[in-house]
Amino acid sequence: MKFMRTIWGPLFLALLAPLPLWAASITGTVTALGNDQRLTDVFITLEGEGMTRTAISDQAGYYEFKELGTGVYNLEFVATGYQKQTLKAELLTDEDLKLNAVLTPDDDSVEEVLVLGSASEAQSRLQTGFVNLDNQTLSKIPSVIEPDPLRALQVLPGVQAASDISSGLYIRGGGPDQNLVLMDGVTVYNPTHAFGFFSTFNNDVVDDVDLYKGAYPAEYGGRLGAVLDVNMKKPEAREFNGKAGISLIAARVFMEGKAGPDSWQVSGRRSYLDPILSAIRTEENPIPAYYFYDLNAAYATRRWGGRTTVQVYHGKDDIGIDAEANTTADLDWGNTVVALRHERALSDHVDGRLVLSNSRYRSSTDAEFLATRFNVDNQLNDFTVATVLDWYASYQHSVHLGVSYSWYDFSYTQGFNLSPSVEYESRPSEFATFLEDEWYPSEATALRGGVRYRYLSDGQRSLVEPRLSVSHSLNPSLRLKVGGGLYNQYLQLVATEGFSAGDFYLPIDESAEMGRSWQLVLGADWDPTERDQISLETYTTDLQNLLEFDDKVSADQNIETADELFVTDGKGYARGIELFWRHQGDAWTGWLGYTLGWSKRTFDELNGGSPFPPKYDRRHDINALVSKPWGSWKLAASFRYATGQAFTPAAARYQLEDPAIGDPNDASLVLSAARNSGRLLPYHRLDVSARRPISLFGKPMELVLEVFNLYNRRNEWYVQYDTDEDVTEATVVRQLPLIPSVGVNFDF
Amino acid sequence: MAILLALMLLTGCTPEREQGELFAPEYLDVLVVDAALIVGQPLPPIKLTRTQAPNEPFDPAEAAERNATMTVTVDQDTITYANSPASPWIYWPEGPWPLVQPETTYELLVEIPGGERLTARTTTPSVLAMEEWVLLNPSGTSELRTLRTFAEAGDAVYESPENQIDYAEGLVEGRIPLGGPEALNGYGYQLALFSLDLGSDYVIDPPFFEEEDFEDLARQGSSPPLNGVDGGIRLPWFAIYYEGRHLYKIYVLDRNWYDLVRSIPQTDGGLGFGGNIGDAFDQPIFNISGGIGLFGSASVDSVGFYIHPGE
Repeated sequence: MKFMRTIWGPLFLALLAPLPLWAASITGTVTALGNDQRLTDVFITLEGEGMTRTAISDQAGYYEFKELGTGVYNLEFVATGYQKQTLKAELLTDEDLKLNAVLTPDDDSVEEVLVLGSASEAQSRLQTGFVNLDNQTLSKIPSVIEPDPLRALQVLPGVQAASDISSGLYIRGGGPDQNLVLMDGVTVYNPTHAFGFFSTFNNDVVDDVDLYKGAYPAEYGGRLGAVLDVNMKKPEAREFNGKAGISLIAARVFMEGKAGPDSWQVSGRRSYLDPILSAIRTEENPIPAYYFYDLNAAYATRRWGGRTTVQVYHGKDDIGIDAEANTTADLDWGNTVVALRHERALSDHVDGRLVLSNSRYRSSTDAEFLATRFNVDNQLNDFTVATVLDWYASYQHSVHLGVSYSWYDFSYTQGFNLSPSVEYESRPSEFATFLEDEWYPSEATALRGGVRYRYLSDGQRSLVEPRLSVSHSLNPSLRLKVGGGLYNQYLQLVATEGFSAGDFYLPIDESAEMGRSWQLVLGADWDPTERDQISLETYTTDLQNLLEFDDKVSADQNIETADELFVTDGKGYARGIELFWRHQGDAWTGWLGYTLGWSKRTFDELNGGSPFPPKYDRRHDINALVSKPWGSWKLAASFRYATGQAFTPAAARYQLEDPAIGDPNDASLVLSAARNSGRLLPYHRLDVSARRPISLFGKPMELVLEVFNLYNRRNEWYVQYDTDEDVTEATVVRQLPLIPSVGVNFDF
Repeated sequence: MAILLALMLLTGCTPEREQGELFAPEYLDVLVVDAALIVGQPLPPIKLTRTQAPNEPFDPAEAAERNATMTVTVDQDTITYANSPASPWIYWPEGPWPLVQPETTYELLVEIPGGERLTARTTTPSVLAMEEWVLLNPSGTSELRTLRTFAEAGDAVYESPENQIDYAEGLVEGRIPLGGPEALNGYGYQLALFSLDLGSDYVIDPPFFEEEDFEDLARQGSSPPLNGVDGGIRLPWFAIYYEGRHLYKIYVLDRNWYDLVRSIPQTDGGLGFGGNIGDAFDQPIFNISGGIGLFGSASVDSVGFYIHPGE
């Protein structure tokens, strides 16, 4: 760990170094005329007193110039889509002058987009497979019962759901275990409520979502496939305000305000099914008691020479059953995330941020069935300290350096009949650093090269992961892009589909090789009009050392190493072509996407060593979204078509005695065909929503009407074979039917 | 019109499928062997059938492979098997039936006219002798009493005062030899429980049980494979439904038996999941060349007790 100490110390000290207090300064925020939206990445040039300096507004639209002398300065504010604005400032003493700028939208300024666009816009121009959806867009997407940003992503091309009841994402041939899910850059390990039906992210406090479908940059690491970074709203209210909403199963409230110079924000959501479930519960029909809740809170201040934010998330699900006759169950699971973030400008050209975070996931099952007790308890504690330095060397060149250190605490215990059967504990740590160079050698070309280095205490393993993205514009409306990189996965998710409460993560110790992927993405973006973007991307992912949960072990096997828990040494690939057309017009907005994909896996110990498709291998996938105003209504519809999911059909029937009881009359057994060699019928579904402002008790509100699965197609979920009868019966278990829902949102 | 539209929405868009579309008859007429050798007991008869179509009734007579030549070789001895017209799928040892020996390798050879050939081998575990059987208190922290064994009392164990147990009174634990199954040349343990008094009353009456749930309760059952990592294997109460005499067996398994029970899809009441539930519907591990099935062995020990209704 000598290397860690030598790098970390100076960086940490650099961030905490106090700035001179004697100098004058100009600080302020940049907002948009009309909607007060804080503008990010506005390029600001300060000229005067024989000097020229530059700054870029941060995510809260904040900028600052420090260490200024007295005199007169001109400030020029430049942002894509807005008219350039110049303001004059006169500093008479060593004062801190507040100077806020309000920019006027201007459709004619698009020629400067290459560097000066918003962060997400610039990212999508350089980065392959990148999609940013803001809250406004997320809210337009029809939902089922409760708005959910993760479920909303399922209408994007290349993104699939395991089922109607799952918020897990299958992205470009990879499973949820290969996705890194972040909340403002902090890992969230099991972001689900209601056994996976909803995500833990309350749509009211989500600002936007960045999705890297593959070939993600060096800033991120630790997963083989994709990155989903959910950016929460920043506390930046000028006065107290709030909003609330009610859906069929939950109520939610959001409040924000100011505390002196600081800002705060609190939101909460809780299901209110408990009284309904209690009313219909009987001795004969012991319906479980169930609730979930989540709380988000954030406090931001600019007291210490920069912006400091404390952010807390806590969510929990709890289900309880008391069926008498020595039969009870109590399951609870949830996440807690606490993050302290300090961001500041270290000089005119260097920004820095330091993040201390703790992300904790815990799930617990304590049950008794007919006087037999069993319990499962697992916990993951991730303490991370991370810092990033952004050096804007010039208008065309920036360098980003990040360092992080994570301490993990895993525990997994399982007991049956009051006897511990599994007791697993591990406390590894991980050091990671990345260096990324972003360079725009010309207006047409952009490059981002990076490398991520990781050191794992578990096995004392070192990993070097190169990443590269290149974009080149052939003309103002046509760009070519290429991206790729090497990725390793140390933490492995063991997921139970349809029952996310049982999901847990375990580190891959040295008994097994970590999963590794090489990704390559080639793409082209074409903007045929100012309101239309069309992208075409091909991707190929080569997967090595894949792991799959080994369910062929003794019920009480004492798991101590990764190779005892997983089937190891899997190989695979995912390849595909993705076409995406997005339209943002006055009459309507929306998109149409199509993905043609192939994915295969090979394990020596599975399927006789022959390759097989993972169940989420889909040859064709079509997604469409349309959103349109109609009078006072806002209408939206989303449609999805996908090739049927792969499944394993029954191939033959045979008979064996149960050797332990020697029962000669035992039912016959079913022999499966090759793994995932069958296909369910194609999946398709249409969801619609309508919103309009209403007035209730004199209060303005928004009425939300939604219909999930409008034409009530009962899509196939899986096939179940029943061998109780003389003839094996196959039963198709279907997914959700038509579900209408109504909700109300209001501000206060 | 509105009703018609509603009906269309509710019923018209659900795709229906023929049963045949949900099967993939890839492995028809594959040889299936079935034999479990128990140490200390005579060599068992061996069943030999072939796989049938999954969506047709299984008829062992129709599935029988009648024309096989079958031998089991142990050390230098070869035992020849033959079937009978009455039950053509069952092959019996010709001549005397030798007892299965511990720590011994048995090799099966099946040859079919036309060249088809099936082979398998099993190495039997050591003799299993449980150290003791005890009744623990409900929290499993202290011993209430030691149960009497068949070696001590024969069939009188069922009347022995130590072996009278009230339902959910405590935990019945078998103390296995230390060192895990490997110490006995085995790969795992398996439990089996038999309710011997047919017609005895239930000791459970959960309010959430319906009549058909009671009908589904069996008088015998077996467990998944176990490792006995802490030197004891406890009987779960959820396996006991009836009052009366119960026989509780513990097997230490050879590799073939262990691999089969750990890999066969969980067939709770005959239900097996296919498709996307965890991708768990996979072919079991048979360890047989030229076919599927079981040619495995085990050693066994047992205890008997009497279950009385609880409070």
